[in-house]
Amino acid sequence: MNLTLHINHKDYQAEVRPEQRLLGVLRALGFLGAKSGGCVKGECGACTVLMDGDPINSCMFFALQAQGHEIETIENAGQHPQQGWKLTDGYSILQQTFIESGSVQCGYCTPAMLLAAKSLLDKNPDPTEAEVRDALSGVLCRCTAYVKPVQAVLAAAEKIRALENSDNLASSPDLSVYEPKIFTLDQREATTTIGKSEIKVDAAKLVQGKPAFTADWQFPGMLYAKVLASPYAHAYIRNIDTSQAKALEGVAAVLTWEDLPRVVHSTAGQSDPIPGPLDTFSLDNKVRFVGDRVAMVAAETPEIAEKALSLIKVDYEEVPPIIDMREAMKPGAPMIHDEPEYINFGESDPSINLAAKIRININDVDEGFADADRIFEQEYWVPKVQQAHIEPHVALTWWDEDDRLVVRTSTQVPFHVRRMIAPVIGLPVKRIRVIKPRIGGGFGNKQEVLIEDVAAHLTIATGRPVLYEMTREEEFIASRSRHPMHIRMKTGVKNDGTMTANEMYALSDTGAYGCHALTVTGNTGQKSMGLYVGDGEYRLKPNIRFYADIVYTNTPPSGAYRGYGVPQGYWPLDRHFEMIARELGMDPLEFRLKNALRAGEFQPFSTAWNEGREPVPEIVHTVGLEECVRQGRAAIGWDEKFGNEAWHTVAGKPHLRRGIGVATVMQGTAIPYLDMGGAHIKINDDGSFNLMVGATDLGTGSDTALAQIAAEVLGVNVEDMIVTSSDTDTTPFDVGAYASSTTYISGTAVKRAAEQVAERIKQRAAVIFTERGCECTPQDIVLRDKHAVAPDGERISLAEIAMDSLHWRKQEQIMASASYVSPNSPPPFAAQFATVLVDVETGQVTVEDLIMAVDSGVIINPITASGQIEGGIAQALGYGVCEEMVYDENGQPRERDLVDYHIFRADEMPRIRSIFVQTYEETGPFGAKAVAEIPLDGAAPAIGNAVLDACGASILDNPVTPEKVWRVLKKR
Amino acid sequence: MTEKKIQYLRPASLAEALSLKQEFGDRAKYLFGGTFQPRLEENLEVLIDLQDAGLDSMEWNEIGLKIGGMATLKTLEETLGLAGFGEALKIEFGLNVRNSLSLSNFLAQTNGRSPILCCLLALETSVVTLNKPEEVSLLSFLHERTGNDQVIQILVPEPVNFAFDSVGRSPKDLPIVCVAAAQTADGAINIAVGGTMEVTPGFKLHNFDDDGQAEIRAVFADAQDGWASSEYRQEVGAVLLSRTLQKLHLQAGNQEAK
Repeated sequence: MNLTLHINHKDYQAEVRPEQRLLGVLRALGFLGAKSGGCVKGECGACTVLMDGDPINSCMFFALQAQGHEIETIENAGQHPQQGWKLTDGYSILQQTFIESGSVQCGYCTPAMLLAAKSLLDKNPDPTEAEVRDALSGVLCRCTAYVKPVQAVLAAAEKIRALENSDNLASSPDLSVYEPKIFTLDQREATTTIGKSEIKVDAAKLVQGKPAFTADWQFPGMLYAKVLASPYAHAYIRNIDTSQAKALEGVAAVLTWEDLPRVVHSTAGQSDPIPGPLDTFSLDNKVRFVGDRVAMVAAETPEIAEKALSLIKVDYEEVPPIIDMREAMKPGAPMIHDEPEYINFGESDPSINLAAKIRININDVDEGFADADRIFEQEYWVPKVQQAHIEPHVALTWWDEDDRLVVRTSTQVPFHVRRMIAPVIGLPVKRIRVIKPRIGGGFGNKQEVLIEDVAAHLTIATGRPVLYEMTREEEFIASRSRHPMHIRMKTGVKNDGTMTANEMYALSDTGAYGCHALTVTGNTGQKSMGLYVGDGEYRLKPNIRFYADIVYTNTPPSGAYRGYGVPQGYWPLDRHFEMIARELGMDPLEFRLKNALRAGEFQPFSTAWNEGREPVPEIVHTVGLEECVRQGRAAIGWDEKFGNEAWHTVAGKPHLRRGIGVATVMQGTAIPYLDMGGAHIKINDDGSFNLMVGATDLGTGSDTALAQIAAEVLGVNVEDMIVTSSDTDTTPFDVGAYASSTTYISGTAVKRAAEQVAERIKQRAAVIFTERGCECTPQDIVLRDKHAVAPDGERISLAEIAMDSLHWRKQEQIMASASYVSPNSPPPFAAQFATVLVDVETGQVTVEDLIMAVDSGVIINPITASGQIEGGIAQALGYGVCEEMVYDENGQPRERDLVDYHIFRADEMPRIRSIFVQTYEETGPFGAKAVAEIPLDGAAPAIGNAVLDACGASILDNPVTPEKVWRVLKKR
Repeated sequence: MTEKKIQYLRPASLAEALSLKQEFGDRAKYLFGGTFQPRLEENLEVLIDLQDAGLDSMEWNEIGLKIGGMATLKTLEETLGLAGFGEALKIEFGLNVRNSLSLSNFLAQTNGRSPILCCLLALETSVVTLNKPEEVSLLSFLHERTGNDQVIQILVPEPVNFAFDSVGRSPKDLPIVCVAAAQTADGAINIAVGGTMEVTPGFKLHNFDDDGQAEIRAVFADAQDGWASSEYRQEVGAVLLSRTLQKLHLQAGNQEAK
C-alpha cells in the first residue's frame, strides 16, 4: 500500500503494510530519532514525534492515519554548524541548552524530550517550571531525574525570548547555572580540563537523533527475532510441535532446545572464572519461571515472527513452583535445577535450591554482643525491582565477509559477551566481533549476556542478519532485576552509642538462575556493614558478621542493578541504626558518625571477602563522610527542622505531617585485583588524538571523563580527543561498565597511556627546540594549549610535532597503550537527606526534597557527575516509595509494563540536589573515586527515616507504600 | 500480518462511514484515532478511518458538553475545564498519551483503576455508540462493551461543583483509591470511586447532610486485590469522600459568596 507522509515539510512516499505503525514507517524512512521503548500503553514516549505541532506517541497510530498531517521529527532540528564546505544554521537553541546543561545522558529519550519541549515553546515562550514538567510528562527518562532537561528548557525559553526581543545573547554559554555545589576538602593539582564541566563527547549526535543505537542499523534481508516465553513458572517441556510455525510464509527459522547444542553457562557478565554456578542453557527442556525461553523464531517481519510464536504447540508437564524464597530450602521443596550438567561454584547446592552461601565473621561477634549494654534485633524486607532502562535489550548479529560473526549489541560488557557466547554458539573467540554502540541505559541489566545468543543462534541457523529487540513486557518477565531479600539485623551497642557488634543475615532470592547470586549478595554485606566499625577500641577490631543464603525460586532471575546489592543492605542497616539512635536518645547523625569508618582504618570486609576471590586487606585513605553530613545538613536545614515540632505541622491541615530523615552510605570503586581496563592513544596529523578504550559508556559520560583525563595530560582540549570505545576488534580489553570502575580503572589506564604519549611528544619537542637554539630537555617541557612549551616560553604546536613525526623526519607513530588493574577499591561516601509530607489519614507519602552530599574524590566533570547523582537518586526514590515486582502463587507477575511498574515522571519529581565534597584519592586518576552507584544507596532509608520522623510509623518493608504506613499508624 | 490488499478509506461523514461498514460488514474495521498497541485482525479488506467523519466536534448545550469520540483526552480536558478532572487526567497519562488517545479508544480499553473514568462516572456521563444511536449511561456501556462497538459521542453534564481526590504510591502513580464527587443543579451529589480493576458503581447523596460513609464502605467491601486490601480502601475511601465533600462545600460557599 502506497502512502504519502508529510514529514519535516516534505512529502515522502512509502510502500507500507497496513498494520505498520507510524513509528516503524518513520524509522524505515530513515527518521531514526524516534525510538522504541517496547511499551504497549504509550507509557515511555521514546517514540515521540510532533503531529500538527503536538507531541504524540508514534507507536499509537498506524502510519496510514498520519496521512494529511504535518509530522515533525528530531531530524528537522538543527545540525552540526559546519559540514565541510557547507555551513548550516547549527543546532537549535533547545539542542544547545540540552548539550550545555548535561541533559543528555544515555540520549535515548533526548529526541522525544526535545520535540516535546519544542512544542511547548512554540506555543508558550515563557513557560513556568510546572508547564515545562507537564510538557515532558509524556516522556520517561531513567537517567536524569529530569533536573537538567527542565533547566535546559527554561534556559532555552529565556534565550528565545531574548532573541525575539533582540537582546544580545552571551557569546559563550554560562554553564554555572547547571553546576552543582562543590566543597573542596583537598585538591592537589592545578588542572585545566579536570574539574571542568566539559560538553559530553556524544551529546551532539544524540540531540540530533543520529543512528547511534543498536537498532538504528538496518540491513537488507534482515530478519526479526521473537522468543516464545513460558506461561508456567516450573514445568518440563514434553513435546514441541513447530511444524505450523515453520510452514508460515515469511518464517526463516524456528529453534527449540532440540536444535541447539547443550552448553551449560552463566549469563552473568563477569571476568573469568565466573564466580557463580553454571546453570543456564540457550534453550532447555525445562522452564523455570514465567517468561523463561521455550523457542526462538526469526522471520521477515516482527508481525510474522509473533504470529509464528502463536503457532508453536508445546506440551508442558507442570511441576510445583517455589515462589516464596523462604520455602526454597525447606525439606521436600521441588528441585529447580535437576539438570546433570549443572556446575557448582563454591557452596552452591542445587539439591536444596542453594545458589550461593556466604559466611563472613570478622573478629569476635559473640564477644561484641557480650560487651553490649543493649542489643537490637529486627527483620526487614527489600523487594525485587527493575532497572527500567528505556532502550530495551537489543542485539543485531550478522556474518561479515570473513565469515566472522559480528554482534552489535546494547551491552555494558562487550568483551565478556565475546568470551562468553563463544562456547554457547560454537565459535572461537577470534571469529566473533562485538561492537557496542550507544546504549539507551543499562543500570546493570546490560551487564548480563542476556540476548546475544538468541540473535546469534538465528543468524547461524539462517545465514542472515537477525535483530532481536525485547519488548517492555519481556524486560519485566525475562530480563534481570534487583535481588529481593529478607534481612535480619542484630546490633549490640553501649549506652553511649558505641557499636560493639553488628550482624546481618540475608536470605536472598536469585530467581530461577544463579547469575550474580554470590557477588550481589556479598556486596549487600560488604559495602553496608563495612561502613560501621564501632568506636574506641572497636575501631581496631570491629565485630561484624554477615551470613547469607542465596536461593533459587521460580521467579525471573535477579542480577546486577546499579548499586549491586548495596541498596538492599542499606535499607535494613540504616533503618535499624535510626531506630537504635532514637531508642538511645541520640542524634541520628551523631550516632552514625560515631561508629562510621574513618580515614586510615581498614575496610573491615577487605580482610575477609572479595567477590569469590582471595581477600586482601585494604586501608581506606579518603573519607569525606563527616563533611558530607555537614554540607547536607546545612543544605536541607536539618538544625531548623529536626526536632522542631512547628516545622512538622502544616497549618490548617492537621492530617499532614512533615518529616526529615538521613542515611549515610558507602560504596566501592571497582573490584580490586580483578577489574582491568586498557587504553590506546595515537596522535594525528593535526595534533588531535584518537583515544581507544574498551570501557563502555552506557550514558554515564565516561567517554567524556576519559577524554578529559587524556586531554589534561596532553595539554589539549577535549574536542581534540576522538574517542572510540568498546569494539572488541579495535579497542583494548576492558571488563566493562560495572562496579563503578570506569573512571578509576579505565581512567588510570588512559592517564598512563597519555603520559607515555606526552613523554614521546616532549622528547621530539626537545630536539626541535634545541635545533632552534633553545636548549632544553623533555623534562623542561610542558604541554598546554595544544603546544609544547619550553621554559623560555617558546612554543611548538602539537600539529607541527605530529607532522614532524608522521611525515618529515625519523618518522614514527607517536602512540602508547596502557592497562590498569587496581589493588585498591577506595570507597565513595555520602550523606543522603530527605524531607517528606505524610498524610496520616491515608498513609500517602509525598517526598518533597532530596539532597545528597557525596565524597567521590576529585570530580572530573561536575555537570555529568551531578547528572549521575540526580538520576541515581530518582531510581532510589522509586525504590523507596513505589517500585516493586510482585508475583502470585503461580509465579504470574503483577508488573508487565511501565504503568503498573511506575517510575517517576517529570511532573511529579521532588526537588533533587547534589553537593560534592572533594577529597583527593591518591590511587585514583587526578584524585577521583567512583560516583555512579552510590546515589542508589541512601534515598530509600532516608525516606523511611523521614516517615518515622513525621508520624512515628516505622516501616520495615521497603517500599513505603500508603497502606503500610496506614496500617502501622492504625495499630498505634 | 495482512496478506490481502486492504482498502483504506476516510469517509467525510458518519453516514458515509456507516454506509461503508454496511457494505463491507466484518471485512471492514473502523479506526477510531490513536490507541494503545494498534493491531489489525487478519482477513480485513477495508479500513474505515473516522478521523474526517466529524466525530471530534464539541458543543455546549444547556445540559453540558457533547464531544465526539474521536476527540482526544487533551481536548476533553481543555474543553471541560474542571480542575479536578484535569488533575485526574494528569495522574493517569502524561501529555503524549493525552494528545494521542481518542476518547473512544480510551473508553474501549479503560478499567476501574482509571481516575479519569472515576470522574466521568461521577459526572453521570452518557455515551452514544456507533451501533446504538440512543444515549446510554457510561456505566451501562462499560458493563456491556464487547469490542464490536465503540463510542462516537460522549455527553458530560456540567456539574454545579466537582471535586476529586486520590491516594497513590507517588503523585502520578495510578491511584489505589480515588473518589470523585459531582454536585448537580438539584443539590444532589454523585459519588464515584476507583482504584480497583473492576468498575464499581457509585452512589448518590441527596445533599451535604449525607456523609456517605456507610455507602462508601459498602462499595469497597469486597475491593481486595494485589494493590490494596478492602479494609484500607474502605477506610481511606471514607476519608477521601469526606475531603471531596468538603471541597464541594467550599466551592458551593464560594459561589454563594459571589
